[in-house]
Amino acid sequence: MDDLDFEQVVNSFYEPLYRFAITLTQSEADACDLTQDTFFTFANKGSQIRDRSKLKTWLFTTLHRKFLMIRRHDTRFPHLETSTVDHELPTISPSMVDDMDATTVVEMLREIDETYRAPLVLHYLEDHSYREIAEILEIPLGTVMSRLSRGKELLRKRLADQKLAGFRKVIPLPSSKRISP
Amino acid sequence: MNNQEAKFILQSCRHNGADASDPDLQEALEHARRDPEVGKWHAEEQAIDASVSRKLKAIPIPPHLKTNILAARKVAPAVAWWQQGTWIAAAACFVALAAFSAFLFYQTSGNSFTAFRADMTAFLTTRLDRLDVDTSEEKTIRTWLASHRGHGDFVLPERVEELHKLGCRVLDWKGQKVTLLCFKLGGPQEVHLLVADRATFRQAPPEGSPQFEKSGAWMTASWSHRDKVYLLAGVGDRGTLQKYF
Repeated sequence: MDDLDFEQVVNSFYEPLYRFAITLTQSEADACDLTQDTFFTFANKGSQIRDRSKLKTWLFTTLHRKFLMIRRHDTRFPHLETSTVDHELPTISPSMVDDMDATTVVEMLREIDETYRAPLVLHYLEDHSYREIAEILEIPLGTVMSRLSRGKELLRKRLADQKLAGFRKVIPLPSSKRISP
Repeated sequence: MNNQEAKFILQSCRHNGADASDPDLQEALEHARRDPEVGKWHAEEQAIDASVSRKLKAIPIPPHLKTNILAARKVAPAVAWWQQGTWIAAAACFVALAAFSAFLFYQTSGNSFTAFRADMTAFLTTRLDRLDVDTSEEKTIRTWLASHRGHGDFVLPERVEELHKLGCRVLDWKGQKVTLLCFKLGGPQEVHLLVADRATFRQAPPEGSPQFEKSGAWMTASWSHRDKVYLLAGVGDRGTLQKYF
């Protein structure tokens, strides 16, 4: 693989890879390390990839495996589980999401267990079909569907709670209306 | 297919319509077209998905990331002339001769612990992608190592012993077996312990208090105990490791 080829691959994938990494990890630094490490592995082993149409999947799979190696027994994030009874998904609207900044949405995603977060992020980064997600995460197709369904439920709950928390903030009265002691 | 089943499958559809021709999703998509309730639900779901997707794609990229990735490429091994068939036979003879010479050299003169430390920290940085055994059970680790030519009788400092174990791996370094033990610190941080036979080295670190040495991004502490050499490595400064002794 020559330098031009490598740079072309970097150009094509480093941004979505980084965005995947940042939702998995705690920090920009860790996400950068994961992304760089993935491309380092690609530099060493990329010539072994015969089918270039598999390159995207290979890169995301490699990054995810490296993340799992780092995380292993990390239990930093609590599992956010709802009851096993099917509930109606919390009411949120596209405009509610549009009004949030990207950082907030990423934080909401990070609070979801990695089991659901990884397929969700791959789904929302849009370049990945559920079949590709199954290949990247090395899980069955049915499991991908279950985790997407569950993950969306958890995310919507977090987004709805976040919106509600915003409504409950104490809003200070203008000075003319403050009650005198 | 009922409404619940259709909704379950439709949640796997990408919002940009890229899955419109996926045969396994056709029945659910057709159901959404025919059933107004499912159709409305699906349209709302896709709109929310589009919003979330926009937010994720708006995550800013650190300005130095691409530069660093391309710079790191410079130290990756190139693939060029040695892959050409005409070189292979000559290269094979040379490698065999060189390996035999190196074997003779190291057999008679011993290996450098400095080289070992550099090689091991480089390995931790770039090539530690798996463990042979993922477990926190020390007994399992010792048993596995003993049966796989590792150092199952390792002796740990008390405070290292208390750390949560992640697993182990047996490595090869210059024909010698090296045991790798991984421990979890707080958060995503880990510390690694490498164990090798003391006789491997020309000048092994002394017994007693560890010697601290920086190696790249790693702070290392090394010591000998009986017939083994230990190298503890963690990312950070001397204080990162000092507390374990």
